[in-house]
Amino acid sequence: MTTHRPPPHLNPPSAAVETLGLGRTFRGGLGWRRRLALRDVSLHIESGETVGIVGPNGSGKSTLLRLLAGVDRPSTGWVEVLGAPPTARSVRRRLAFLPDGSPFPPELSARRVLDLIASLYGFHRSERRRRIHEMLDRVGLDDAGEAPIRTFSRGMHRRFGLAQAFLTDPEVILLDEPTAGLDAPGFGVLADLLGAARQRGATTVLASHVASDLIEHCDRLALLVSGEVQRIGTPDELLGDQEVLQLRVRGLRPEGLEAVTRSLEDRGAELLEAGPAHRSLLDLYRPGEPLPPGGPPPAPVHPPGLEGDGEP
Amino acid sequence: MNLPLMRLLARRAAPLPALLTVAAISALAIAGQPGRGEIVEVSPRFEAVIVSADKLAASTAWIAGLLAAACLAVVFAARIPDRWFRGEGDWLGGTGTSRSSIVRTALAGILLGSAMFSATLGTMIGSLSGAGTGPAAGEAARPQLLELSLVAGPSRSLVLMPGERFEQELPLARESGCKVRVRVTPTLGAAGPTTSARIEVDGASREETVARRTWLEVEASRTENTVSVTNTGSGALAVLGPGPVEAWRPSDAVAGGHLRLAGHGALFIMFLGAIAFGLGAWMGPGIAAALTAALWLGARMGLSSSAAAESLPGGASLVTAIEAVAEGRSPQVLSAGLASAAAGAVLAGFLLARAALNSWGREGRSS
Repeated sequence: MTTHRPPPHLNPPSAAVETLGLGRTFRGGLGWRRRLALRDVSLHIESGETVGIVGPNGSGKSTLLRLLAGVDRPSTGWVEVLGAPPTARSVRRRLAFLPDGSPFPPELSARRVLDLIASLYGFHRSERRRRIHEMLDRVGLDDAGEAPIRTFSRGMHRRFGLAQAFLTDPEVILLDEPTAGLDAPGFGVLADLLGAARQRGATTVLASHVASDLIEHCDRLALLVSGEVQRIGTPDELLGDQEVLQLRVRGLRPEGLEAVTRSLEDRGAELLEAGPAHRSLLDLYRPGEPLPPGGPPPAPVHPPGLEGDGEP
Repeated sequence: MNLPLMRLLARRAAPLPALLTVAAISALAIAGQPGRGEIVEVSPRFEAVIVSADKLAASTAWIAGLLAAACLAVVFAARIPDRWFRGEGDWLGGTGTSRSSIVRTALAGILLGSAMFSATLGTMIGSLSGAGTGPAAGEAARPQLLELSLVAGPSRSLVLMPGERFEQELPLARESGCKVRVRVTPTLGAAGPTTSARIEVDGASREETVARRTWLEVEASRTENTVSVTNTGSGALAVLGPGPVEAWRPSDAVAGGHLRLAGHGALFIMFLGAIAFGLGAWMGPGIAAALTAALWLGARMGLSSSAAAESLPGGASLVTAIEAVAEGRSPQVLSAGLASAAAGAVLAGFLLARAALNSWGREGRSS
């Protein structure tokens, strides 16, 4: 059962999010079988930190975020956000949560839903109007602001979700699968919003099953598998491979690659993969952006000894 | 209380298609009344007792519309918490508003939506009857309606054989233009299946053939205080209790008649909506709606013969109110008992929903 008083060592002043032995069990079937969604999760997230929760589907990421947001209650353990239980009113007004999927009222327009959310947070009408206008513009939905949410595409749904999460300038932001369904400009929107949140010292927790989506935004990553935190550390500590070095080179034609390969071999290294880099889709979306000279980019070039899929 | 949330919930409790459905059913109930405006003459003797279809049109519309509105309101109200458990609670519960406040606001929205059903229905019927073809229209066009001021008489029915007489004392404090009526029906036990009867008050009398359940009515002055009914025919006559004698006084509540009926209807739908909302927070919308209907029907049947039936929203008082409007009379003002019962249901709905929403993700509903 949940304890009602936090242990004395919990929640040092700098912690924005703190959990200790957090667990969540769901009843299944007729209530006899129990499904363990989270087991003994202990996290300490500093104020201003951006932490990613990564793990496969069904590993408990969404459950953990719902517990941190205070919309679900733990079966065991303790959770504190900004020094108090997340269900406390003082905390909820400083916290924002982007749930998985798009559970927003489909019959309302984006502007109406944002107005509803901002009013639930207690913002005045004039302030609501200003924030909603700014936020819709920022996420690129200004033109679609009056359309019912049910008419949105998946990417628009996700951008709208980001808008509602960042609308109130919260101190703690919890984002569940924020990149799912995002298009290239959407990734730019997310990066922009996360950057601004970081600048004003907000703490962000992101959950995703695609680690590469989070690496560039996160100070630390926590690996969640079968409801348990397996590892936690910086992206380099968790995903970095000290044996493999990645190079991006500008100004070298494919013919020059042989010399590079030889040079690397002279130093006892082995070139695993090389080929022309791809431009970002975002670059192509920009009106008037010229295509590379000579039409489409050349086919990948493999170093001597490497064929097709890169295997020798 | 959060106005945008209340607006959303009101919209969900009474969505536009449902309002249009209720309006259409009401219109069909009026337009589709069989024999409307026609007098079918079976025989000269029976002509007087044939029920005019016009007299039934307004009450049929009210009953059909209210039944449709009540069913829809129960289903919509029961569905609202289910949407919260299916994901909406994730963002709704994560906002800075307390759960009590959200439940309170939701309930207010549902009640508002429920009231919209009744208002739509009342406006619809009012405008149709205002076209001048219905009986309610004819009555509403009168400068005055009648308002019930007294119910009196024995608590049980009694039978008058040919030549027998029934008397009931009335208070002297009556206004001019007051009408007194007695509820009667022919019954077996004498020479024929029908009979005739005479009602007398203050020297004014009226004799009618009685072939079905009906009211014998006469205008009464203030000089005497007894109403009497005499069986002047050859068949038996039953004076129907409880309280077969009614005195009606003139009222200037011409528009108020429909408003009061709308109030009765609104209380009925709010009563059901609040219970459905509370139960819906604990169980699926289908089961909650069915259980709400079963609870109400159980109460209606259990209370049918007691005085408490008057305090059940949608019970005896609503039926009486509908009958009154159909007859061009003003229904009774909402009683304190009726309002208390509806308020109790709203409180029960709030407490049920509040307790269920301690967690937005109840174990049984989470996945």
